[in-house]
Amino acid sequence: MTQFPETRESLIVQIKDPSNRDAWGKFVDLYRPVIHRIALARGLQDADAQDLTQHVLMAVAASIGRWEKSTESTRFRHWLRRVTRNAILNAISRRPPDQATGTSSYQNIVTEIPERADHSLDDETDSLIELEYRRELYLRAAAFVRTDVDPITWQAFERTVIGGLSNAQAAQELGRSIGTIYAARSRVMKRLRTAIAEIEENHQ
Amino acid sequence: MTIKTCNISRLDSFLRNDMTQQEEQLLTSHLDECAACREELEYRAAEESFWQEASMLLGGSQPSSYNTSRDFRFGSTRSPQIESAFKQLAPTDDPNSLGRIGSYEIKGVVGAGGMGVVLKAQDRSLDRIVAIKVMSPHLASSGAARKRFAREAKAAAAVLHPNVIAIHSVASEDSMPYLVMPFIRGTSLQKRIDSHGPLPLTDTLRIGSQIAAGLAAAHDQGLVHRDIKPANILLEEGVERVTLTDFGLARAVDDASMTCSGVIAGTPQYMSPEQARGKPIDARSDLFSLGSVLYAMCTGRSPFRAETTYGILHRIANDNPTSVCEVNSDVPVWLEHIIQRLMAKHPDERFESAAQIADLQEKCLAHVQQPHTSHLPQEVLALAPKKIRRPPIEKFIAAAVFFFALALAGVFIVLELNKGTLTIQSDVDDIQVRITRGENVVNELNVTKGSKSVRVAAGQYKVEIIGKTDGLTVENGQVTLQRADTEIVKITLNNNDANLPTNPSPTEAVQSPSSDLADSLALAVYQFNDLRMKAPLNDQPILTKDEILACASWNLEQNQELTETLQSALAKIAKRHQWPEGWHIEGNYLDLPPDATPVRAYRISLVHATTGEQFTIRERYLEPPPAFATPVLNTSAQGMQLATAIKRFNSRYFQANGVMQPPLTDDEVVAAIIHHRTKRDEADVSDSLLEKFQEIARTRFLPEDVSFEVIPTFGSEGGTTYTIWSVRIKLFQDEAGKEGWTYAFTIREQFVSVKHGNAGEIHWGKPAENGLQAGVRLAPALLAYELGQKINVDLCYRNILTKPISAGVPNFSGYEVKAFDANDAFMEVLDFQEPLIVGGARSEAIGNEPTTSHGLSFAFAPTSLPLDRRDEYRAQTGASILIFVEQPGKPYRLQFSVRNIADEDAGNMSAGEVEVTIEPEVAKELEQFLNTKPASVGQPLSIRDSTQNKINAGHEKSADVVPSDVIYDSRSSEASDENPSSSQVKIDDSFTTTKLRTYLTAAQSQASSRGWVESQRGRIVMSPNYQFEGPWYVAKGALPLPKILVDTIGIDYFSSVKHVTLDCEEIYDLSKLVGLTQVEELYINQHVHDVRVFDALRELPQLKKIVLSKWSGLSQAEIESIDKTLDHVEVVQEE
Repeated sequence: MTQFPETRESLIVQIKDPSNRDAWGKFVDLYRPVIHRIALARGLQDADAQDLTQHVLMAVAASIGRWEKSTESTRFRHWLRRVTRNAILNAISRRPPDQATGTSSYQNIVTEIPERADHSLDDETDSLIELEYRRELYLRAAAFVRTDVDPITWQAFERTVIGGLSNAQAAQELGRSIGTIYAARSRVMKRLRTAIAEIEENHQ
Repeated sequence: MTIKTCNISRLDSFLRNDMTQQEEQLLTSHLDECAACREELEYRAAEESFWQEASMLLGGSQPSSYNTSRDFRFGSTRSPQIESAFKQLAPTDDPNSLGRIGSYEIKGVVGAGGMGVVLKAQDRSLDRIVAIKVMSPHLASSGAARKRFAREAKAAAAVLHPNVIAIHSVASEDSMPYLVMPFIRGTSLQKRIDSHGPLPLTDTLRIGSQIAAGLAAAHDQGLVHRDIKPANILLEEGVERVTLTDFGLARAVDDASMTCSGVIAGTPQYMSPEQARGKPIDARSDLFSLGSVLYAMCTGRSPFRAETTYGILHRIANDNPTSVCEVNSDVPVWLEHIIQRLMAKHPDERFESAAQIADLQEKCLAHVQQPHTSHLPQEVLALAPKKIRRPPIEKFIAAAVFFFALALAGVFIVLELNKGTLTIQSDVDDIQVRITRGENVVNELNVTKGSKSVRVAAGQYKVEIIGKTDGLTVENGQVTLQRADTEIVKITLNNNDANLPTNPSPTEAVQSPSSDLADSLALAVYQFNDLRMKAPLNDQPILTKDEILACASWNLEQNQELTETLQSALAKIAKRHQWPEGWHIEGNYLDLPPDATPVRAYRISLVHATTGEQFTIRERYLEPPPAFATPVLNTSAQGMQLATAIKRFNSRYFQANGVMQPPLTDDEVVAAIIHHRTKRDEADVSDSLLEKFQEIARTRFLPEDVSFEVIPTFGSEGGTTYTIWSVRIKLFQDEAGKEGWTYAFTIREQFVSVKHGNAGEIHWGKPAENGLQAGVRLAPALLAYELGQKINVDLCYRNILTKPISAGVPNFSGYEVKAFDANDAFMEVLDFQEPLIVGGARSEAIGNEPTTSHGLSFAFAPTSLPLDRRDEYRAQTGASILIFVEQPGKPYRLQFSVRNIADEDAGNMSAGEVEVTIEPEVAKELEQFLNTKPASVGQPLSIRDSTQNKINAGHEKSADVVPSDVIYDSRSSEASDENPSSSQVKIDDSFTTTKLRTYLTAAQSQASSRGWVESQRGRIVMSPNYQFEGPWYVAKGALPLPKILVDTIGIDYFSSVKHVTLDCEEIYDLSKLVGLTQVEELYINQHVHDVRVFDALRELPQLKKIVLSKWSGLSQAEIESIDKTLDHVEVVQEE
């Protein structure tokens, strides 16, 4: 069961090849919402958040070629987290936001940590990035699983797990037996988990 | 219709979508009724945390503050265990509480484990947050478990120590027994290791010493933790404090679960061997577990891993884990020693107390942090030379296979079911066979003619013959044994006669070329054994290469009376592993001494062909003179019959370092005693004592104070260990002035093997990210090497992860070597190896067992060697790389690195470091070399046989070529590329070994200097410059090997070759490839003379593909006809 078109070769390796537009497209697809949501959560206006997202992506594009997976712990996600964090901290600490930023400094945000980096903000950003990354994983997996199961099965899952109804309530609303609801939501959950594992593997 | 019974496996098939619609309907109806199955289904779909996360992340709710601590928020479902704990909670008025236990308001769940659930609660009376551990209901129903829980909890409460979790209170009388503890915000060591891998050294020591300190406090109270593992070690957030939890609770679990289900609960990875065996334990068991935890911190994984619980327990009881330093080369050796000591199989061999180890680690930490002011503690340094021994081999086998199985039979019923029968059938008598599983020896057997069976657990086994294997083949040597299966391994005798030279003159035969392609020493041994096997009397064990090496090394080191010629001959054997010219081996039956009452003996000696000088390798007493054949009856003395004593001796002692020894016989002992008379002058004993021995020979009766002893190993100061099976007879001397002394003499002395330091072991480098680990091993393995000595390099690969990785293992590996002297100064390395390696590759799945590839050889050279003669010198040594050293006699470090063969993009990886010493004396050969005048450079390479110079007119320059004219020159070989010449060598019986050596050296120089071949394509190439009339073989290392050589060392030597490329000018005959049975792909780069040559290839069973070059000159129809001739072989012609 290959649910995702990516090959075993990780997406990160693929985007290192500048001519592989397809891979870059997929990469942007996955990470743009993550970065954008983080920027919003950090208090940026939507337009600024979009700008910042663009900056981060450009910085990634400029320096991905130099990124080397040197040890197991330096996952791409961690690297990206640092890039994003630096960009956000830059944006926040340099007011007016980002106005004077030239092309060269897109690359600086990859390596530079602002001097006035507030440590607690740092940690918070970190956990936020982690959270948003997880969210994106779930959202994408859910979008996939949803198209792959019948609508009632999905409904059973959505109403109970996402909507917060009790299983009995959902059974009543959907006109199904309680066993059906359990069966349906469990099966969706199982597939969701598999899908998440697969996406994660493809993006390490 | 509903199903009444619950079936867990159905839930899994449902989740996998493996059910028919009808089955699904049945299950759904069952789910309507059965709450238990509903819970189980959800739990199987995903753990609680996933449900939780899905609800939160997909719901789009932004948690007010994302908390990194592991508190659970509650979704609509939980794991059955938590659910059942919640059912027990008392109702509460607090809207923010989930329920109540005693006076505690439950706020959440911290986690769930083998023995219960840990809840986060608020202590209303003191307004503090606590953690409450609630015993699982299934455990709580066992009265014994409850009592134990209470007792141990009270004991744990008595331990007051910052590194031990405090117990606020215990309630054991409730329906739900529970413990109240402080709530610790942080993570467990397990999670830390899972997320970060190996910990930095300082963290390891800091955490380790705190664990030990906590344990020490508990042990002081007489409390054994029993379940020390990373999951039970909490790392408090923010502060550097370690807290041990779950004291003594494992015991309560044992009580409940052992009796009812027969399964040990929880993960046993960190258990001690005595725990694994179900033996009584004490505080030292915790020390073992502490060692395992340190191991996990150093390496990122637990020391004993296996797929099943039984497998883990078995490994804990019997295996030594992979060395910490091998897994993570950042770990200092002294820490490894500490861990090894903690993880000693026997409790007595471990440290004395947790307090000691806590203190030790603290001092080590101080040393690591301030290496200049604090020294490594003396106790730690003292650990170094004390190598923790493996369990003795006999004990090891017994424990592994039989005893252990019985001890646990009640607990692990699965064990017996899991067994199968492995039967070994042998054509030959008295073969020692070793059965291994992975790296572990499972059993060693002595197989006699016929068959022998062993019962072993299902799994993959390798069966091999110990020691000498010439002439024997193990069929089906790699077996996978299924449960209850029977597998047969056959040992057959080859018919070697066909391959032997027709007239084996031993002297000629043993003077083989000193190339690594022909192991002249093995060859000499082979020839000798072969000749001897044809002799009528054949009751002596075969001679082995190890025996000669051990004997030669021992005498070089110990024997002061060697003649100069003998000394150089033995040095050649012991240091170069080469056969000395002019010597051969003889085996004789003889009478010792040749006087009135001679004893019969058998002797193997080195004999010099011209001087007749002899040197004894082995001497064995066979029988006494006829007069002693019938014993004189002895009734008076106290003691036992000699035969009985010998029987007892044989049953106890039969192998030396894994090599089986033939039993002692009565005749042998009697003969030895009689012969001892001749040594009267050397023996410092009284006549009466000597007479007492002679009495034994006459009566074959052993007095009480006489016994046999065996000394199997001898160490020497230099670091060499000899295995010499030395059986002696010993008598207490009770004469005046000698009370308490014993007198003994040797009955049998058998050299078995020798080990010089550790150069022969694989030195592993740091594993790469993909799990591949490379190591290096030198051959010959010596304490010191001579200048100019060719040293072969084996490169080994293995995989530290459990899943095999596929890689193209080159038959010849290229490597980079860096040399450093004692001051870390970089030594010059002259590397003649090309980036492209000649030799072919095999595709392999690399697992934990090492796979070996040959590296090019190197030699040491003096820095004083003139620049313009270095190339010439290298050619003479036969090595590909020269390492220049300044100070012979001093140690040098060699660092090897290789390409990551499992990942082309990963770059080079370390392949270990070896320390070697260079002999202080300058080798004679070097002196000779320096004294000769430089050979003229620039002369084209040409090799001819002087008697048969022929063919290729126009390129012929001189008629006779003496060996010294054959030199290698890179410029001329370049030239010959543009203007290809073809020197032809006629190989026939007149082609002597000296010429062969000359040829091989030159051809090898050229082979290694020219990248004929891409290793990625796995080719073996025959040089266009060398074409042989007469039979030849394509062999490893790009050298076409004359049949004469192949015949002597056996085609099997090359049988692993899979890809062959023929670059001859024209292909006339392919029958020479027959015998290379593993060949899968054949590349033919040249013109094919006649399509019928392919007929011979029908003899190659594995051949799958033939690739013809566009110059093959074959028509499409002809190619199709090849296709027809060779079934299942794809024939392709390049465009």
